[in-house]
Amino acid sequence: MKKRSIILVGAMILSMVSHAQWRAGVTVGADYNMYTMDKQYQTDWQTKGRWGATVGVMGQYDVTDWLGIRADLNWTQKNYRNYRERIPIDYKYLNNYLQLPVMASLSMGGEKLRGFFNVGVYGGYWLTSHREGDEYNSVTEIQHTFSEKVEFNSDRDQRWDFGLVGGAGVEYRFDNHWAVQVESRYYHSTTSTQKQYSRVADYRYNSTIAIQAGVNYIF
Amino acid sequence: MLKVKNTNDMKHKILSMIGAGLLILALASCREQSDTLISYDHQDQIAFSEAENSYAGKFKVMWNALSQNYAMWDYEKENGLDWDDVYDKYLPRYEALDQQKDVTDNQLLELTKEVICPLHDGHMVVKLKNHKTGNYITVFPSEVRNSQRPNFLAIKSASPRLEYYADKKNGEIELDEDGQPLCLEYSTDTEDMLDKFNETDDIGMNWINDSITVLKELTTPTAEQVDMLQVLTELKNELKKVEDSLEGIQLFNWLANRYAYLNIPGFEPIDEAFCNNDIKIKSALLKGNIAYLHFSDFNLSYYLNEEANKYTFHNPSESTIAHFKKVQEVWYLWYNSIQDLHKSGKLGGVIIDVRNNGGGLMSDYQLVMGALLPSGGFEYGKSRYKRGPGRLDYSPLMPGIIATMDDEHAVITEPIVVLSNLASISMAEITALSTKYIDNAISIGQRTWGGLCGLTGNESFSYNYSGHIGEENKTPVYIYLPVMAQFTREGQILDGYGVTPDIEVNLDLIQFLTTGKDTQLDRALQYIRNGN
Repeated sequence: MKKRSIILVGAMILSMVSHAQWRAGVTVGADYNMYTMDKQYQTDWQTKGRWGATVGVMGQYDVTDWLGIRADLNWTQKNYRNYRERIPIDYKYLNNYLQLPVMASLSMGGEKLRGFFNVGVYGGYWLTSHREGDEYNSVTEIQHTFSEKVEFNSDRDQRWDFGLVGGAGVEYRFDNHWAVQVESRYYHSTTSTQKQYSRVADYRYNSTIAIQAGVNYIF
Repeated sequence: MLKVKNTNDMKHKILSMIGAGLLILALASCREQSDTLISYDHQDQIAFSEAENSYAGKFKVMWNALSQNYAMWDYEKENGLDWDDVYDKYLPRYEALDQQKDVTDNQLLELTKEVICPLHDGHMVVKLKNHKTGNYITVFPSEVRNSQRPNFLAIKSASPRLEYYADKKNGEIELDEDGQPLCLEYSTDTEDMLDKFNETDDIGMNWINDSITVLKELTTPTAEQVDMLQVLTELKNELKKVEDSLEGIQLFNWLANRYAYLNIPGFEPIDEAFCNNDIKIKSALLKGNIAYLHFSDFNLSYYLNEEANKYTFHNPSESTIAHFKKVQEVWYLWYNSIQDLHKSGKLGGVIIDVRNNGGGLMSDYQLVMGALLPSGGFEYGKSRYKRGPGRLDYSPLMPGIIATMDDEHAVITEPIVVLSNLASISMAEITALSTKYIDNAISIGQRTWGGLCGLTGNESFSYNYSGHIGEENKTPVYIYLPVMAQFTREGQILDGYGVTPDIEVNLDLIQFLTTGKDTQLDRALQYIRNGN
């Protein structure tokens, strides 16, 4: 039994090594980010998701024909909107992140057209933030329109972002070395965008769905 | 062998996918939950329940309410205050009070002062109910801070007056065609109205006293006269209970209506709206055609703006309307003098005296400094609201634009001086601050109070956007709290410090109290007359 297992594992490793190959590519797409925060008793505050863009480069090491290890380096926007229903207050946030997802890529299907799943973790860094919209000064009764860079507050803002990532898509290999992919991917942040700077816990999270297309060169 | 490989491949794929799915589910639960916050709005009585019979409960309500609503936490941090440290340090001390059999008002007051006074907001007032005594203690941090300044009480009570300057023989005032000094003043302060009722000859209390004396001297009074003596004596005793407060004015009015049939001269109800919207106003044309205006509060709009007047005074009586006209007369002396003299090229300058001015309506700016500037508003600085539940959730910095006069008027290019002192508060300070950004304006006097943040009434916005935590004298914790921070155009917060005048001059109190000569006003006159 032991001998048989050793043979089996050896055969698998051999098959992996014989299949192993690298690929690299670029991706581009759109994403929709949802921001989760507890608005507490401020019931007329509303938080809505907003669309953004995602662009990246990828590299993948295919261990077998169905399993690869993939890493992306992408710029992804995680935008959202906060507004109040009672008075004209409307903040539209635009947040730029640099992300590095590392995923297992599982694929199945034929030689040309294959479906795949990616699952893994990601780390990211909040590069910049910008907000625009309307504010209302109830003392002077003047409504203001604003558009400004948000200065990060080192006490408040958690610029490092970590979480889970998963996606599903299809790949079409139109040449021995070239393939295109379309993927729907979900980034689930497990890191609050706010540091817990007060004894009152206040957690706020991004959840981002991206629809992206890419071109891969298979070496 | 190939079959074994394929079977194991499939097993691995399925297991890998199931494993990945489980991993995602497990890690998805990694998100933490926020603490639940309570609204301390006046309608949320349950939120105050823990504060009813516990000092620690009062502290927690106060601490949390400030944490959620105070507009300058970043500024406090820059100044070395950590609000979490305050919690750790002071909660045990309030808990210790809960263990005591008796807690005096002074103990609660002194402890609460330690907690609240380091905060810089110049409007904030905290009131806690001592459930052991049934009394409220009041902490007004900016008053504590300002009381450390020299002659605080003397200056606060030495309201500007014009007797010396209005006296023809001192040669400080312009005269009209009839040789009379161009100087007017009027007060709608209910205390002054009561004083007028009590002290003016032949009306009010003096009429009652005179009548009582006459009736008592009658040797053979009629039955009617005996009744009248009894009624007047009762009324006099009732009137002694009248104090200068809303309740006092309500009692006065009730008596005025009840005894209206006596037709006592000067005994007419006082509009209760004067209690919170009163004003003392003085204007004069000083030598060199210098138009001077002093007013006690930014309440001018209630008297000069039709809409604000109607909103505040409902169905005003003839005597109430007469008060409005008197205030208008004083203001128009100032405004018309400026406009007429400017147009004829004879205006020497303008003095806006906001010393001992407690602030009030922002819209009043258009009737004061804004009446000298171009229409379309003026940016005095920037403002920012506390938004969201987090301690550091703020709105963007917005231009602090304040209304200037819309009606056609000449823009004043002659020198403008704003006089300020340590009792210039809120809008008075914003008026002094605005001189920094007006080429022909300057501020003279003393550094102001240090309370520029803005408040709104809680009738407009619930859910703690208002500037009131709880309800005064009803909830065990009440905080009068601005939710808006004010900044200079350069981004500086002046709360807790005040606006420093361009030329600092102290009031010579002894000279002022003995002769009426005002060293700060003299400096303003010197500046306008000599240009330095």
